[in-house]
Amino acid sequence: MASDGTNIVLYWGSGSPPCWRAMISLFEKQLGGFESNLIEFSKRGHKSPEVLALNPRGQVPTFRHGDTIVNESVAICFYLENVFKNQGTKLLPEDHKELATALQRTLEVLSLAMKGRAVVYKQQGISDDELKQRKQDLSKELGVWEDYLKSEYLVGDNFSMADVMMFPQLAYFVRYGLVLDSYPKLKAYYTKVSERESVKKSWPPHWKESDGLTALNGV
Amino acid sequence: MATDGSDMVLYWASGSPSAWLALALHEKKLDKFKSNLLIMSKGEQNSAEVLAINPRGQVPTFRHGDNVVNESMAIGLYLESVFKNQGTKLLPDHPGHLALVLQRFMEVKNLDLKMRAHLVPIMMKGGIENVDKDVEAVNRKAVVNEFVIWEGHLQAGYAAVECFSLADVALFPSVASAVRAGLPGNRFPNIHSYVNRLYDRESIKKTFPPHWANSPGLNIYNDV
Repeated sequence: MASDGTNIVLYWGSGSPPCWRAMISLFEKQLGGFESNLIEFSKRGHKSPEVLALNPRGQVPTFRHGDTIVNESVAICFYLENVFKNQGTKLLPEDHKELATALQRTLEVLSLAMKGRAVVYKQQGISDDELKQRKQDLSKELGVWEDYLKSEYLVGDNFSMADVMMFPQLAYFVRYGLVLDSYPKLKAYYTKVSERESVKKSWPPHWKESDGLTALNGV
Repeated sequence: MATDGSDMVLYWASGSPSAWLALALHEKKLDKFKSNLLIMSKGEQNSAEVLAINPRGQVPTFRHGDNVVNESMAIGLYLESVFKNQGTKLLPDHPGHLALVLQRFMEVKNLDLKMRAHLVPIMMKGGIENVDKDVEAVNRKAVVNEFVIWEGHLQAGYAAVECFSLADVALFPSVASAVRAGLPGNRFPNIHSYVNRLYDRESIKKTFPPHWANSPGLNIYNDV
């Protein structure tokens, strides 16, 4: 059942890493014909009746393929790779060792995301010491990923689901002021993957129109 | 490659979400794995042996021959992928059912994070009475809201589809520990019925946390 994605609907918000993961997956699997519904968080678009009808949690990405609804960004990525395994980029390797690494890195990005949020979305009242600690934790975590990059991509020399997950997270951090000079391999990876077709096609629209933020300066 | 699990090693902690990997191994008939049950309070997750396979010093930590997979959800997906033709089929073929199983499987993380956010301050301060009341109230509301969502999901008897799946492997240990911690049956009948029914499942009997048999649960959720 080859497809160009015309029976797929995606609700998404610009710049949100979970939404970006789903969009990169769609383009990598050659499903670029999907119906794209951009919502604005500031206008509570994620709590609109259309979204809530498909996702009672009122979150994005919210996704429908024909009559099949899939919420949770990682579930969407795995669903697409499974159902469309014979078209587009192969995002999960066959070799068991590489598969083990790909699956682990894919899920590990969630730890990186959490540490990033702890800095970017810090509560109002946290102490300077606590914020400093969180920034150090994030820096240490980025060091782990710097070490993981032993080849071109996270799993050897082939772009995989691990990269679908990692790139939006990294780009989000850069947007929020992370300077990659202390992480040369991440910097090279960021530059290289930015040029990938699926990434260019799904680049957050509002990032092109406005300056980045500074919460991650100094990490 | 062995098909009985004899080339696998799992480091896990009883009663914690990491316990469910042991559940998955039994479901896939990989019973012969080497099981290393760690006592977290003794810091065993930071032993040289664990750190050698998982520099993060976290559980679960898993090795299959020379393949290391950390991150509990990655291990679950790995097992179902490599051993799809043996044991219980944990991911359905039908795309619609697969979608729901994958979604619920990932959704369990919401429950785990909220339970943890609520419980950790209580454990660290040695009791609810020692935790800031406003903070506890916010966390309690979030976790109860999440229990209500799962009460709804469990209407059909399982976490996702009409039979046991990877979503149940992920969900069961969390709701079982909630019931053990006093979650009321009158308000959450679906969760209670699910937990009691699944206690009869072979894989769950085999991975029942040893220390639960000897001690009562904490009364954290009695009055939600």
